[in-house]
Amino acid sequence: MKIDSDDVADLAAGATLLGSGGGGDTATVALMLQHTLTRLGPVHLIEAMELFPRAMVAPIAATGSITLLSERLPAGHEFQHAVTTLGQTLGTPVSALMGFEVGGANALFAVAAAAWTGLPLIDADGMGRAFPRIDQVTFNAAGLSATPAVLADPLGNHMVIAQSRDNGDAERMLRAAMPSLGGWAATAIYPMQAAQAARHAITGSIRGALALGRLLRAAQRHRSERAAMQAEFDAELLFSGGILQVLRHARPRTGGTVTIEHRRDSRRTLRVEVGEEYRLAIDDGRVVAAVPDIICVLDALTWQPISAEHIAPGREVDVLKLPAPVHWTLPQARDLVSPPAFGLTLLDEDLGGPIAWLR
Amino acid sequence: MAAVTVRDLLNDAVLTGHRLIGGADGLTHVIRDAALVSTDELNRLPSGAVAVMDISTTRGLSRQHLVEQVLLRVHHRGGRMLIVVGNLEDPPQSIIRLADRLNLPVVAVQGPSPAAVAAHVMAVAQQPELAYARVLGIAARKLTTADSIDRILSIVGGVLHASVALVAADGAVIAGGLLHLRPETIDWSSGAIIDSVPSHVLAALPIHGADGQMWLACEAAHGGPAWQDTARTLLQVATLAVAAWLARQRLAAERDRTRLHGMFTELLQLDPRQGVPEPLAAQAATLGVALDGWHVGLHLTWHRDSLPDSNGQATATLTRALATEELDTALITRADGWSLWKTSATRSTSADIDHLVDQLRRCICYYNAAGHTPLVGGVGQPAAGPSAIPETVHQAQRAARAIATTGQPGAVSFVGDLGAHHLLAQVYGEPAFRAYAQQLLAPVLKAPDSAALLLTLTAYLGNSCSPTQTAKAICVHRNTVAERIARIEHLLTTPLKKTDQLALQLACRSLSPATDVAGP
Repeated sequence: MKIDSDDVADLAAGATLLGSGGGGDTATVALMLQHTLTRLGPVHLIEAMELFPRAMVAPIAATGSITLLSERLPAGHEFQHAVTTLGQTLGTPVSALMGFEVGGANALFAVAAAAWTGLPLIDADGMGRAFPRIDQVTFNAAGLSATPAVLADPLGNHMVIAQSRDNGDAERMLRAAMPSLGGWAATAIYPMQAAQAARHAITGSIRGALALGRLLRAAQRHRSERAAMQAEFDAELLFSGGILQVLRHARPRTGGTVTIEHRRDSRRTLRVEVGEEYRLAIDDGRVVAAVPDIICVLDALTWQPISAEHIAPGREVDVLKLPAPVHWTLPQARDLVSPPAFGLTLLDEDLGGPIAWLR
Repeated sequence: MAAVTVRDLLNDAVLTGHRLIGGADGLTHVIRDAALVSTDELNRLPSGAVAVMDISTTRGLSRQHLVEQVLLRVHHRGGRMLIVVGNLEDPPQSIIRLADRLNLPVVAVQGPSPAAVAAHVMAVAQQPELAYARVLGIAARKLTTADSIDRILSIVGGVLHASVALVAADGAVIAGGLLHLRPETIDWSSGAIIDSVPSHVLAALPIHGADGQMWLACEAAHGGPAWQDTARTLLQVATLAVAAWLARQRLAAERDRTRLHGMFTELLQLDPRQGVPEPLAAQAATLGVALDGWHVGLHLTWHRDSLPDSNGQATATLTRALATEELDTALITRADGWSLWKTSATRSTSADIDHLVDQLRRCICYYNAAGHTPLVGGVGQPAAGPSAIPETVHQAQRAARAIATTGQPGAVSFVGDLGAHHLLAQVYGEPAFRAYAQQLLAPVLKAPDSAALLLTLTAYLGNSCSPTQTAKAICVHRNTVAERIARIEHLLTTPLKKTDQLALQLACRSLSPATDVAGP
């Protein structure tokens, strides 16, 4: 399969929804990707199994602040440098790129990086949605190392994190490097063999984002298409109502709490805990969705996803829950992305026990 | 003992500084138990209990979302209230709405140990009699030795966690203060008052021996039936302490009044050529009375022929009224009212006198509004030195007597403003002159419309015999005035121009009710 410039709008829409309110603004990156694909031609989307099992694969992403990225646009060479330097560091050239985070702008960067480097893109990623930390990937749960990781900025600076004690430390080192790299960097990380990618990555996620985006855009054009999209992706409508209040945490904490008043029962409220993404939804005291579930807040009229950064009181919204990628339900992976990993304690019965009796 | 409700708990010291987050409709819930709950022990919460949740040790970035989850579970287990101990920060609307929806009060408090809160609430809920009897016992012991009203109010306020005040029946606060209530809006005529509305609770009892004129009242933001029971019991003990304090105050006031009278009598007999005798100066100093400086006498007397009040509260009301205008100097009870004087370092200007007249007018207005026999007032000329005090007070007394005859209730007159007719009014107020006046005007008084004729004659003479001015003054047509004057002249058998008009005018005033028809 090839991804060309005609697919960008669908991919951007799907990636935005999978961002769960986070993952960065896709609009600017979508324009850039469209220009890139028009200029350089389509990107080959392959399966990891199609590669020689020991072929080197590099998940690719832009890390740091996506907001800063809009002010300091990538030229493309930083992604090429990151991939080339990673191959040089490993002593083996990179054979294919792979998605790192399919939610938000990084889904588009993966395609753009494949176009800039001329490498095929494996239809897979490490998150199946958006998460804020580089250790919140299925590769980490599988025991793969994030290092060596290469960070490259638009000015030609490279930084190699050669080794880290664990992937949590790699995350801390990467964040510490961001100010000196100008706030964001093209990042080639978690180098692995094609066989490992086939086994540990969330496969089909790029195609899935494309399909999701296609149906979402249809639902945005025609209200009657909404049910089809929900049925196709097992998306549950959690709540419909008006945003009553948005309480932001004091700096340096990000996010806050959103209270939504039900459209038909004004005494009923949905509380959404917000970090970089939407993380927890509590309907009148009952937890109805929690990370790694993909909680999406959409404008009730247009069904445009509303980011956690731009959510504001007064808007009429629908709240959807997309099921978490199955990889995150496995015991060894769950702890990386469950609510306690984000500082959200839940009652024991809400951490998997039956809660229907509460209603 | 009444059952303990959530409102009672909100008044408890253990929840000092609490914030009621939501669920105000559940404040009447009766509570029977309490338990410290954690996220994995909610099943142990008994029905009818208060759940105490400690979020101070909760790990992670957010604690508020747990409150909502626990709140729902407390509700399902029949809990009656959720106390959150720790920093809840700004609660979002979702918590408030959920608490309101479930009618389950949620209270946040910082500072106390969660275990101590749970233990205390459990003790109060399970054995309220014991808990309240203990505090009442301590309070009763303290009240027996309380020797000032502030101390008594402080003890009552401390036990009931309420603002406490000693209030007069007219709503004036004698000591202490209430929280939000305005005492003047309360009907103090009934017996004990227990009033509970969502924003506050009030308990009040009349003071023994004060003829229902004085109340001990306490007001709290919260307080349910148990609080009200406790308040009623404690107020019964406290009113006895207040009555004892009141008796001591009256005794001291009576002693001071006697001394004041003695001092004033000596002042009246003071020879201006000799200085102030040393014992008199010492007595004045003891009573807090200034003899040196510039004095302005003030006198208050009853309007016209009114009888003085029979109840003993008149002086107390007047003292309070004077205090509100910062005229709380020594008040001397006289046969025809009260005298006092105001002292200053420099001579009072005319503006100062005008201000003083206004102050005294407001005092009298306050006093008259309390339902006592209406007063009028007089103000004397400024005078310097101890020997001048009797003179300025005497001038004030003259001014008060003059305005009592001719003015309206509440009027205040400065002696310097008294016109000739005011001074003469003292003459025509005498019984002998009234007899003479009745004789002089007998033909007019016998006429069927004597009142109209007398009014017209008074106005006519007071307006320089001008029919036009007279008509304006008594609101009739000019021809009516002319017709009435012609009839009067016919009745008196002589033209008015040929009579002694001054004698006739004084006779009219002596027999007329006070009016303002006399012209400028």
